[in-house]
Amino acid sequence: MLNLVGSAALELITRCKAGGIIVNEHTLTRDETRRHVDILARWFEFIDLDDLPRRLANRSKKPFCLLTFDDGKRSNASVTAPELKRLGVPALFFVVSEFLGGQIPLWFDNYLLLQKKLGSVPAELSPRTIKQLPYALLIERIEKACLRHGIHANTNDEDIGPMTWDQARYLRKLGFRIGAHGATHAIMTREKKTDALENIGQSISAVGLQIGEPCTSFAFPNGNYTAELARHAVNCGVRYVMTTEPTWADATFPLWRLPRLQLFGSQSRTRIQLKIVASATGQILLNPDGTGRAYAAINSLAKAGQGIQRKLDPANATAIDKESNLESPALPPSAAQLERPWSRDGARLNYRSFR
Amino acid sequence: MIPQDKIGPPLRVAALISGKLTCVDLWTLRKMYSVPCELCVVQAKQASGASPRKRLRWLVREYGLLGACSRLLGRLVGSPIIRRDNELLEEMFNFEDLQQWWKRTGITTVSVTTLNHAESQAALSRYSPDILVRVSGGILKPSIFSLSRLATLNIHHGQAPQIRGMWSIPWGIVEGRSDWIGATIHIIDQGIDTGGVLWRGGPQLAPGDTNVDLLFRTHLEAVDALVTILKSYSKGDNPKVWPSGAGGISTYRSAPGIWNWLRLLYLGRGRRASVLLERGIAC
Repeated sequence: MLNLVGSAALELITRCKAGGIIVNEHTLTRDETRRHVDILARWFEFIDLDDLPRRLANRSKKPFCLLTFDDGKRSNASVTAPELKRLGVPALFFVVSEFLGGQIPLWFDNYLLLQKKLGSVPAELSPRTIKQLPYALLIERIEKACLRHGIHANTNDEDIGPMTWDQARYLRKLGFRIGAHGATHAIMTREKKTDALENIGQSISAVGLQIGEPCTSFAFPNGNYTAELARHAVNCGVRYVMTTEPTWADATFPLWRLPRLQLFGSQSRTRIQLKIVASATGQILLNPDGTGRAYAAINSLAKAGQGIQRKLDPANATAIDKESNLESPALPPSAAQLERPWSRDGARLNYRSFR
Repeated sequence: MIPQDKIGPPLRVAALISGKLTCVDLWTLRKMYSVPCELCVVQAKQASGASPRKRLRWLVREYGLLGACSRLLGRLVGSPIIRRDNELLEEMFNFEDLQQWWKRTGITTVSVTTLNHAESQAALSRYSPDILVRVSGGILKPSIFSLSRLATLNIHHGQAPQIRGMWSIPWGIVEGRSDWIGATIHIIDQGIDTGGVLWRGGPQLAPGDTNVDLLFRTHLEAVDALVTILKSYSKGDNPKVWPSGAGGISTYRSAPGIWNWLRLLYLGRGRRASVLLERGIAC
């Protein structure tokens, strides 16, 4: 029943709605990869990263789907990518630069094992708490708990261990794109600003150096972002910056703040379809970065800002909108140009106006 | 390596605390303990020596009857929120671990009635600290803050002198002032948060943050800065006083009344505040 509802709603949405979705995956088995591609291909047209600006700007018969995979786990290279290649589906792999080629698992793999072993974690390790901590403190706390309970994630597991840089380069040779996902998997907004900026810059330059071509995309680890950090990523040379705001991507989004819908291998067809339907509303789903539905208010703010900008400076507005969404590879114009646009006429907007 | 002739007696630091040790206090103490210094804690049993009736009379005199009622109602509405905030802070600072650390260290603790009491003055005179650090508690009287040889320091959770007084981070959220959110380490003088600034900074403000998240991150950064300042004192340097940076504008805010507590709740304690949401689209 739900499957039918999901299919019908998706049929309707894909006919009416412009843009498409950017899917955020992590690890998929061969079967899961096939299943996800099968579900998504029915409604969407898979695109490469380079097609994104054009597809955001122009309406097509079928909405687009850009597949992205976070973290750079070994199974991405050994299982998922070959299957995607066989199916002819392009994808973008975001890698954690210091994780690649190493033997140290990412913090959340240890954390998941801890959760699994303890059943319920102590308060100081609750998911809400742990995601508030700066990276050094987070690592210290998790390592201490893992040591106490004799837990260590096995990096020989393909879904836990990292791919090597050679594998990343091979993926690029196959036609996939490689993006940066932080030097560590630190939640950037929890770090001191200088540390966060350095982390972002390091990861972008490491990916560029290792892959042998400029890195053009960056995804915020855990999804938490600020415009300032995104601008820094753009200043470091990337063109596309991605978050985890679970909504459709369309022309209203600038390239430095692209939403992504998170899917998991274990999710059923029905669930995936309903999730895509819910994401189309831009209001229902919770952002996995822990900020709830704050993204809906942020997007309202952004749209209101663009509207005001157009009213204040109609001659410039088209250029700004165009630039902010599609054209500018150099800077995030919405951040720079829409900086408190309302303060120009002294009319300060408050949240109530955007609800 | 410090030259032999520069090694003097260790810096004597006294930390002033009022009431029970909270996770915020313990975090500060733990970090201060990492500085090569002699640390002593002066802990007051209560924040103020004034009776409730005297405090009420002062409140009415200061804010008028309506203002006093609003503040009392605010305290009523705010107390469960503060309780919940403290629970969250305890999780973030890992209170249990800090308490165990506190038991293990055996730092000298002198118990006094209030921080401004003669007992406290006597205890501090005996200890003759180089630096006094007000970790928690109310306003210090000159008879106390003048007892340090080098300086009496305070961590103010707000960017002084732009914002002075208490509840500065929530005030920043409620009044949409991102420039108020942060912390200041300043020298204590006669005024409230008016002394020379040794460090001022703030955490990154991000969409989805609440006043508790911001207080937590602010305190982490402020304590790191405090440690740096203490280390420089212990090396015999005198940290530079920063320029005021407020362009002459300074706002003082005291405890919130009922209206501002309700505003904070309406703003989801920051989650729905435009001052934080707009960080997602503007720098």
